[in-house]
Amino acid sequence: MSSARKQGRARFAVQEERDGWLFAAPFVVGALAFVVFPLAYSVALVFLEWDLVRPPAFVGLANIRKLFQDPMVGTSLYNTAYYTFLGVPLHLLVALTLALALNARARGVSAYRTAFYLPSITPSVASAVIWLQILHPEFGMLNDAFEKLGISPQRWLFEPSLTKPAFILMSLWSIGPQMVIFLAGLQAVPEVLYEAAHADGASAWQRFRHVTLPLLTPTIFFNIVVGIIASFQVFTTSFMMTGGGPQNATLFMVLQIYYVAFSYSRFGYASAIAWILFLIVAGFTVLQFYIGRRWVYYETQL
Amino acid sequence: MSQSRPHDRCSRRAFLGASLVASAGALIAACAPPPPPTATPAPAPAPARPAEKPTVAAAPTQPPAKPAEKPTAVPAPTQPPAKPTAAPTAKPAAPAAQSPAAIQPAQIRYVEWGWDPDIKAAQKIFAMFAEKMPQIKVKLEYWPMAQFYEKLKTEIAGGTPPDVSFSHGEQWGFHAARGLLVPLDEMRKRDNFYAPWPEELKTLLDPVTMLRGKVYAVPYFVFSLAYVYLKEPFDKAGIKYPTDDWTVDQWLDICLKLTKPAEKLFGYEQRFGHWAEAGFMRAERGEMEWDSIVEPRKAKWDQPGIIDALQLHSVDIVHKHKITPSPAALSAAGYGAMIGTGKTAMINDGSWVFPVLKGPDAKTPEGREFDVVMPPLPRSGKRPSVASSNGVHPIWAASKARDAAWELVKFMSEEPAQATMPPITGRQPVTIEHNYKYWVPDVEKTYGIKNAKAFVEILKTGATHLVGGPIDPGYLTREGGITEAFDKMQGQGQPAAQVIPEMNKKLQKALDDFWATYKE
Amino acid sequence: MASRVAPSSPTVASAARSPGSVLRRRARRMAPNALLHLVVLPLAVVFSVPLLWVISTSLKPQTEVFSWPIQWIPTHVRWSNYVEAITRIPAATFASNTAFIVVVSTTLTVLSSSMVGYSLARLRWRGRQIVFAVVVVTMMLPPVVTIVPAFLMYKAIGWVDTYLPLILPSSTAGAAFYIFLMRQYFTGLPYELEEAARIDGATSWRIWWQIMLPLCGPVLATVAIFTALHHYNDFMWPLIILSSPDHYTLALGLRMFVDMNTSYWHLIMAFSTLMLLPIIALFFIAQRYFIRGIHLTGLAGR
Repeated sequence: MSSARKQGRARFAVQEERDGWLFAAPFVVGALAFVVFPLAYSVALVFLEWDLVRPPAFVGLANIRKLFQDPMVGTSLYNTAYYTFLGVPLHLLVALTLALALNARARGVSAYRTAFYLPSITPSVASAVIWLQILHPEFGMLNDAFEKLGISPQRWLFEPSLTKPAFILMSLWSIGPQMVIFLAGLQAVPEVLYEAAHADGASAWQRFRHVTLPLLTPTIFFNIVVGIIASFQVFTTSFMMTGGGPQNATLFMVLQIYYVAFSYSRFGYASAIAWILFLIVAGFTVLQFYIGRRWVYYETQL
Repeated sequence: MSQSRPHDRCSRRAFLGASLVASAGALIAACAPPPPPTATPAPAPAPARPAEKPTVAAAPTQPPAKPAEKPTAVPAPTQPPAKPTAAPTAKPAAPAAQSPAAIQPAQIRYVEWGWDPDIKAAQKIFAMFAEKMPQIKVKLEYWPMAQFYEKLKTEIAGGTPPDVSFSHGEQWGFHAARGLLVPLDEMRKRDNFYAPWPEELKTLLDPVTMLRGKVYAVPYFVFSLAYVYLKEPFDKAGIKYPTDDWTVDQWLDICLKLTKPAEKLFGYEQRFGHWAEAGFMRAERGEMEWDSIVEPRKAKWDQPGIIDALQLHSVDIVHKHKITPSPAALSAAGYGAMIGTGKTAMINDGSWVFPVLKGPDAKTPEGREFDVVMPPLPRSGKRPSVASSNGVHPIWAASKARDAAWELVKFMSEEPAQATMPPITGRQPVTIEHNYKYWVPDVEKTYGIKNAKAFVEILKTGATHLVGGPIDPGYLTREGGITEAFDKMQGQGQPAAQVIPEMNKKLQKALDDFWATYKE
Repeated sequence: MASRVAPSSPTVASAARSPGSVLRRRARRMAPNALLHLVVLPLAVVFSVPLLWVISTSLKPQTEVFSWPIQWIPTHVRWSNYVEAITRIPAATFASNTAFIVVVSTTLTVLSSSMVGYSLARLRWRGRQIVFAVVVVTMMLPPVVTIVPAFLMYKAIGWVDTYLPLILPSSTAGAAFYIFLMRQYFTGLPYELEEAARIDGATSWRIWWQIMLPLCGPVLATVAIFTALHHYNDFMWPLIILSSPDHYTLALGLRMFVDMNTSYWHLIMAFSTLMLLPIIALFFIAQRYFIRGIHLTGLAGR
């Protein structure tokens, strides 16, 4: 380090402390103003029962005890974990592959990106009925295609063992955001590095392995962390399409929380389930950050 | 190895975010005509209920049709309704004195769901109401049907339910049991108001308007289920159209004849879930847990008649006779009936399916010729009947204008409102008489059908499909395992004799769990 | 950790800029492009099926919505569905309301998330790690259980039926996803960029605004798109907050075609198609930044 650099660094360090907070203020102030109260309320609700009508009543640990005896909670946790641990890796792989392919400067790439992105922004009311129509046992497009290929038609959303795989299949149509995030991340890889690597005689694979991949690790890390968090909160598809069926095969945790809260009016118990979900997600996230320290490359030291 | 600083040229891209956003906004805005001034919110915290002009305010500048008993110069006082001396309902004034002028000026917040014909009907009815009672202003709010009740519950939590809301017949019991609704008996008695509960529809209307012997809601419309069939498949197969005296055996026979697997034609279309077939369960054995108007405590599905009915109507027709495609399972978004495509010949459904077959105003050139018939008679000879999705109007106890709200719900359940609603919405009015007067001629003319009376006659044996009293119906269907049981029967063909006793136990446990922790 | 990354010394590859090499590179690119189209085109078609179904259905009469075998081109193309869709609900009002919410929220979110992300990634201050942890944590609790407490809070301060609860929380504390995304992106940018400016005595504001943001084109575009779409399609929260039909958004309007026992799918699809048009345009515009990023971003000097 040059001495000039050190000096600049020192001068800057004085302001840095203050600027750090100032720049973070939108979040910090917003969190204090808008998040603290609802969050604290929902924590308190774990120990209360509240039907939205009468004032909340203290029930001690009853909600937590009930949690461990409730078969619906177990079922929904299993469904959610199944969906997450099969779905998230698949999403990442497909999204990354697509992003790499569509990072090319070829004709029509814009149209491709749009084609892959659009399904994820189709309003859920519309996409629910589309998928129902695609997966319908007798009149569905997918079974029509199967029949042409000589595969026997499947009962997709009517067969509990097939419903979750069908959901994971459907969720591939909503990887658009992940693909876009990867695409944005790929732009951060300076072209000069590729050129340098190329001049050094690196093969395409080597360039990917030693240039693209390391510099993309923050983005990959982001997509894993956020992907798991989001996947644990999967809700809309089953809410719109199956209502949790058949035979509770698509009863995911947030859907069960939703029913317990808004249908059964047990907001205390719903909060208890939600906070268990929170702890599970938090556990996985902490693990991600712990493992991430070994493989995520950051330009700045954190 | 220091890098040169980025080129200054780049700084213009600093505005990237903003300009992108602006262009996006411009795009969206470009799609819309200039906004009305109401679009922008007040940046300063506005009062909880912004006092704005009511959407449906009559504000008549001329005196009402009746000579006004009360000298009111300007009949639109916008003062808040909260008169602390809101006439206590416990002390009725003159009995049967229904003098409009006796009602204090008030503003009422009325909520229904936002399906266009229902909004239009409400607006028209409110305009008529404003002529009758200019001192009462009705503010119409409409919420999307999806998650209507979630929003309602949130508003209750906030302490500001509407004065009057639309409700499905099975949805208000939860609130009534918890004291959120006004019992209407005294006002009924005071005004001698019993017309919208005709004696012949007692079995239908009592469970959806009463809880523990008290009336909490006034009927606005009813919906019955009957069999809707397409004429074309019958004509092609040379089968005579069904008549109201047909039996289940004849029905099954016809369906088998109309079913052609190779062409994916089905004689019948099974709807998903339990309610469409509930009529047959009831026909076989009258009493169900939701019959007790007080509250359900005992699961009663475990009866041979019910199991037999479900075996035929939820298992065999799908898996043995194969006369129906898989029932579509769209939960929240409503679902689509295949019968519109002509791939199924018949469906047990409500009159809401008419516009699906012919287009909203029966103007679609591709529309299908159809007619309707009573449900077939089961072997027991008892007429199966379910009337579902009855629309009723409860008055919320938080209302500061109960009397005004009462006048409104009365008005909506009588002529001329009951005559106004059917042609606009297609929904059935409450009484048999009004059905024959206003609904039957209208749908027969609009859709070219001849037997619309099937939908009216079936009301007489009608019962609702599920009422939980203080229990939310969703709790019974999900935690009680009803939906799961129908998944097993309809979806997988498991025998009813195996599924239903199991389900009955689960339902009993859910009921027990509920009552064990229930406090009022 | 940086040792894992190969490209530590970007030997400026100006030699590769001769006209001859450009030709060679173009030739090299041809072959993979053909492959790209071969693989991606069928996939893009498959991904487009739901959207094509939306458009196809939007032009059908109601009786043909579920026809089998699927009829991509309706027998009678009904443009009147579009007219009906925008006249059955006050579409113009809803559109302008939505535009207002989307524009304001997106602007605020882009600004705030890039500020906070910058602070978390590039500035050193005490509490930074905690604030970052809080950012991640706020994503983990399903909103189902905080929605009612939040409603009560906004009710108490008189914000119900205004747009403030739709805009302010989501563009500050609710922007956790975007803050995290921005932070990841900032961490990947070369450290040297800031150094020079610091030595020159530039303030953090100047560095953020003049050095950092210009390098963030792709990720700012990503955040802008995601935010805009979130507000565009958000249903539950606006439903809870807004009461006056005059204040409704398009997403609420779309749900108004769902009647209690049946849905008017042809109208839903027509309205969905209309709603998708501005998004497609937005996405095409935003893509310029993804592509341009390759040329201008990072160290690729000019």
